[in-house]
Amino acid sequence: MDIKRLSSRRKRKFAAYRWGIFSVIIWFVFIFMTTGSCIKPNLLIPLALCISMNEDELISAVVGFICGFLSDLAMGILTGSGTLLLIIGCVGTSLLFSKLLRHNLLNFTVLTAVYSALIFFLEYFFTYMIWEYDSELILLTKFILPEYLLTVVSIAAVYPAVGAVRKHLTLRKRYEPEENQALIKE
Amino acid sequence: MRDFFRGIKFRLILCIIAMAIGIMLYSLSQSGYSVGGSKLVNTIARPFRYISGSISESVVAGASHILSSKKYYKENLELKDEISQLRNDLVDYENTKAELEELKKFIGIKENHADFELSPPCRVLSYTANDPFCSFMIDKGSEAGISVGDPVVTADGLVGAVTEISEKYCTVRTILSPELSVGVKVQKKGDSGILEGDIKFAADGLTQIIYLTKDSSLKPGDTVITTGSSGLFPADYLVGTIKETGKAQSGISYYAVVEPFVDIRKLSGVMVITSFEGKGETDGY
Repeated sequence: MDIKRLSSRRKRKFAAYRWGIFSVIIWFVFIFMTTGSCIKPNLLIPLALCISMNEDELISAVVGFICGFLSDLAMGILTGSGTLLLIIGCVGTSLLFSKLLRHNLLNFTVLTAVYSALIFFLEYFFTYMIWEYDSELILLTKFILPEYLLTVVSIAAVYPAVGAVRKHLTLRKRYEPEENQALIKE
Repeated sequence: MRDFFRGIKFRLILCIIAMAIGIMLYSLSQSGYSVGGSKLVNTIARPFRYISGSISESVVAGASHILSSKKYYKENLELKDEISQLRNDLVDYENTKAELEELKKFIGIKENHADFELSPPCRVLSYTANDPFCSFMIDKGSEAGISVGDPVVTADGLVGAVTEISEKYCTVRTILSPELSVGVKVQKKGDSGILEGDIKFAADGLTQIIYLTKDSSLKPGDTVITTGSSGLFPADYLVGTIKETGKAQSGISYYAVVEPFVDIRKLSGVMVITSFEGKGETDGY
């Protein structure tokens, strides 16, 4: 009984550390996105999807809500629009990886690339295309596409970073011989 | 999967989605004013942005010293020529100034722009991520007397106008954006046109004057100033210099590329003109 209680307390402690570190990462990614005027990747998209990959649907929706809201603020687009899309993306990612896909870099890269393409196309369509901006192609080639490519490339940093946090701060079930003996004796 | 759609989790997710839709509809209805949540986030983010902005500025400055030495050498030679030219001009200027001082005593003309009411100096908090037209956020808002549409300037020239505001900060749309139109004219010559950004030039920090007629006499080096006819920008405020001229794609009118006096991509501080003579007399924003 004592062993069970201790284990549950440790599990909660580890989860608190894990989410604390995720929150700090999300916050600094938001600050990074709003610093300087050069083209930067939208790091919040791969970050939210990568966190959602190993979480249940409800937690993924909350992560999508927070990252989407911050992304909307950083990108200067209609607040709530990106949030809505990222909630759907995160819940979809969680369902796909829990029921259909294996957890590996290739699957995650393909999923993020497809999802980001959709997001950037919608941004381009609603922000520039329907308003018939002059020289739309320049916008696409000089801003939207580099931003998209940088977002996809950033997976190489986001995936191992989230993986490392998860690896070191997730309590796994271990069968310790001493504990088993103690349980048998009891 | 069926269990998921019937479960409580799915209903809670729907609630979160409904909340996002609610925020979106609310921000749509705000027309130029920030959503409550964004105020909170931006207020918390402010000290972090100060720090990251300072780090970014010093990194960019350091990298610029190393990478742009050739450019600086060329600029140095050009500046030396310009200085000798300016020394000659200075003699004329001193004479004209003395003459002007005498005239001032008699006719009592006010100093230039004495009608301006300026906000306290504003610090650029952050640029909008990946905006090709370099819109940015500053650390003063309606508490400092700023309102939507107020012109934003530096001592060197016009920068843009306020488009979104809250109590402690506001967003500025720059003259590089095609969504901001400013009535301008060429100093001394009087040729006028509309200053409106274009994506072709925005990447290089340039903007353009459109709807110029064939007989306009603009040439590179001419100084562009505001006309003040719209009532949104003060009259006779410096904007930039003409870099080149050309024929518009339509073939009907001509355009002139303008290099603003202010490098809009590397701003660290600006001022907002909260009131000036003739403000709001004509609404063409």
